[in-house]
Amino acid sequence: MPRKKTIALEVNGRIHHEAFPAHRTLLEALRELGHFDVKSGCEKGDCGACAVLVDGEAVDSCLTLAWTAEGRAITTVAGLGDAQKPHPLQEAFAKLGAVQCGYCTPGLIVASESLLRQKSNPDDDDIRLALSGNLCRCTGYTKVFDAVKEAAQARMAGGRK
Amino acid sequence: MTSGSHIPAAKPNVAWRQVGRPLERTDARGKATGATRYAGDYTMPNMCHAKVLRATMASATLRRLDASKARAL
Repeated sequence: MPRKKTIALEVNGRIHHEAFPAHRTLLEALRELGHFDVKSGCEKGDCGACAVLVDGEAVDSCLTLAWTAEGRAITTVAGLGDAQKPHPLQEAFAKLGAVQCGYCTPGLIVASESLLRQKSNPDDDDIRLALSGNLCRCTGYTKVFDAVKEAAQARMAGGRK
Repeated sequence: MTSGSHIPAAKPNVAWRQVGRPLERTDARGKATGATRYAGDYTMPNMCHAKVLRATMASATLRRLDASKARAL
């Protein structure tokens, strides 16, 4: 029987105390904790659907062991905003048709947020590089790029959010 | 007469209310905020789980399958 260790995971500002075995990925742990906004796609780092922010930087939660995320601030797409108070990226993705089936959307938004925190006014090459780990089979990415640029503008106009 | 000349040109019609107007998907915000539940996000009482078991030999004939360990889960 794998040995479990109780760890404290800070997700969207809330601390969860839960026991996990050493091999539990952050993706599995988050979904066990009820964070279904973190999507499980390929589970091997190809698709980016499971991306979350760890201390402000996008990582694939399927390639991160839950134990290594202890003591770090984890932010999921639901932690960025909700229907009542959407984040500028969530607003732009919805408005500009960058959401179709939507399964890749949480990962795309998280990766975009990681980019915008490092580069407030990205060009196409910056976006292409930042989203190169996120697969989307519906949109063809054009509207995703439009949404990231619109959110960047909104963010600069409204001050850093 | 050039070909296609009897195809009537589309006329603007003031009665059109949806054509030509960009519309936001009704489900876009739920998906963008992570609120939307997908099939894999649900669990039901006594739910069965399936997993693909692939043959380890090419062109082999399957004679029997011992599923006892899977059933025991």
